[in-house]
Amino acid sequence: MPVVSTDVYKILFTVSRWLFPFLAILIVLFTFLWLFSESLRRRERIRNLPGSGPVGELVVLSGGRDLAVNTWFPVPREGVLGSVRSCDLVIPCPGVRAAHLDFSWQDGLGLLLYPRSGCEVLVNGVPVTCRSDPREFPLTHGSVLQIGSAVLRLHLFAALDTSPVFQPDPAADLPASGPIPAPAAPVVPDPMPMGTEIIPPIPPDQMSGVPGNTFPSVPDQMPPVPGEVPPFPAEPFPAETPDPMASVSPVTVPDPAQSPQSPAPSPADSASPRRPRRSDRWKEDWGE
Amino acid sequence: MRKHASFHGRLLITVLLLFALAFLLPAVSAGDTRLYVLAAAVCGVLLLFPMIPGRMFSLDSPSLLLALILCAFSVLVYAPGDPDAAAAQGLRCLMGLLMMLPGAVLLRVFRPSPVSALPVAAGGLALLALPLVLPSLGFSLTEAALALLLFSVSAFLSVRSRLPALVLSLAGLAILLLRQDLPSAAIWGITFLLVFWAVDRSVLWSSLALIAHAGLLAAFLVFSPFSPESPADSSLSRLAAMGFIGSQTPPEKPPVPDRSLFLSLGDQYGLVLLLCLFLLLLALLLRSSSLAQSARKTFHAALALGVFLLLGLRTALYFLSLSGLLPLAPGNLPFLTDSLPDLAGQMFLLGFLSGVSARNQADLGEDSHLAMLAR
Repeated sequence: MPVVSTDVYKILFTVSRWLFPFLAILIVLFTFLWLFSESLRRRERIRNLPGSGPVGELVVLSGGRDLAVNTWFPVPREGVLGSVRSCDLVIPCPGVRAAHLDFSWQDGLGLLLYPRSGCEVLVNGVPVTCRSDPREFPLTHGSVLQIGSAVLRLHLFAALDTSPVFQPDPAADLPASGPIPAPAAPVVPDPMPMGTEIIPPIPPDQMSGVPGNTFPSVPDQMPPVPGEVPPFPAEPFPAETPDPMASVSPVTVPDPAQSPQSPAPSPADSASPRRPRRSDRWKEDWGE
Repeated sequence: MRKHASFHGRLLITVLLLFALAFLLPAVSAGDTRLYVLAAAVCGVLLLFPMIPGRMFSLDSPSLLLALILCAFSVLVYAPGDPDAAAAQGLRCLMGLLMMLPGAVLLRVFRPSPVSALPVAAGGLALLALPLVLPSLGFSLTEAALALLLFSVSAFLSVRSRLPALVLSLAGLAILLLRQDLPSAAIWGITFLLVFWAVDRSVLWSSLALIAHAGLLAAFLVFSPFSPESPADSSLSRLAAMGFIGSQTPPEKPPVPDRSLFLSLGDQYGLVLLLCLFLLLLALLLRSSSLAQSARKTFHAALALGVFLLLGLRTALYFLSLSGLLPLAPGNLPFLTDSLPDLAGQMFLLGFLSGVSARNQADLGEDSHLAMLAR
């Protein structure tokens, strides 16, 4: 192995005394630049994904003097709802405790609420306490949450896997044999034929009268039905396939005054100004 | 994206250059084959570990590279004086690095629930109580035990089981106090209380936890008074004797490091390098806090926050002891230690961080998918 002379080694040693700290400083510099650039990249990616992170938003229907109507709060997947700033969801209203309830999103079910001891909320008019089973009262798209003096509606972001309308009753809905009956709810065929009329999305100001569990379902959002799968029909399929759009009926929005569970919004609701920027971006995305 | 890749590449090239030169300098002076092999091995591990196991197990690249750099410094400090000790330290570091893999895998396969958290908690308490059961044991697995305890406490808190989390933390604290390990007890107590407050946010429960921990600590101090140590003077004088870039002339006899690898590195390479090491540790802590902030599940956020606190408090304790502000003997900095159990425990914690990072990336990927569906 090569060995250098003492004089050469002294020179190398002296150079290294300056070179090593310089390289160490470069390492520190590049490390922080790397971390910073990665943080920027992540921020940029999140900016390109409007609504990234939250599962939806809670829109204020009425909140008294403390909370303006149509204020919206992004809802994270899990967290604490309360009236203090350290909470993930801050509802500064009378009747809301510092840490009122815990919530967590569950795919296929909705937003589960876990009220803390001594706290109560109303989900679609039904009281929920810490003794209630949270799975029985999940918040789904359009559900109304009343907490303290605030009334809020949950708007879920698109494509999240919940099935609010489907309440399976295998004994009643599924026959023991024979063809599968047509679903009661409107069905959107997939793929959609060209030239068919597209059902427009419900604007937020018309959604106020829709109670929690009345949204139309699409087939891929239906959960698997417990029980046996019915056998195929014995006779062959008909030669003429019926027009799938024939079964599509327009979504009817019930009169807000007749809605038993969701409170009617004030007239200021419909005349309220445009909603903030991020929601608009999501709405445009859905519209497209 | 190009910028991100270029900073990573430049960092890797600088690191390889520094360690190649640093290992080759004593090698060309002494003509020792072991030092040449060591130079090649350290540079090879620095290059290949993030590429092969790092990518196979989706380890967090910044955390992994920072840990590798700190480990390489701990090998470098032995190289001029004792190549065999340097090789042994290299092996210790490699075994410690492999502990990142189970940490990352455990986080991915684990679904937080009280039932699944119980075995992990039992394992953590058993490891913690091992020196009490076997006093002749020559090493302690405190870091690994605290990692497991943190894991199970995070799992309990994420499913709103406050009481089991509190009882588990008190049990861990009691065992640490019985072992007379006051620094680790303080670190664990503060970590738990802060994680508990961050997750639960209930003033009542947090006050209860604080009172319980403070009461246990006070009871211990009443029965077993704390005797302060004062070894900081020698550390301070060592720091004062170091030049900014170390000695300008080669030493007559190659330096042999003592237990404090951080100070030994300062003796050889000067205060500037020590400052850089501190900043690298700071970068690692910043990374863990950033991962904790971007985590979406309570379990992952609590775990990343706990890792940040455990490593950060250990670092703070070291510097406070070194400066004489705390009457304790300074142990070793995280990742700059010659103790394999400590190194393995700290790498296990980094494995958790890697798992959280992978989960965050998966969440962003899911968001992209949802945005695509919404369009």
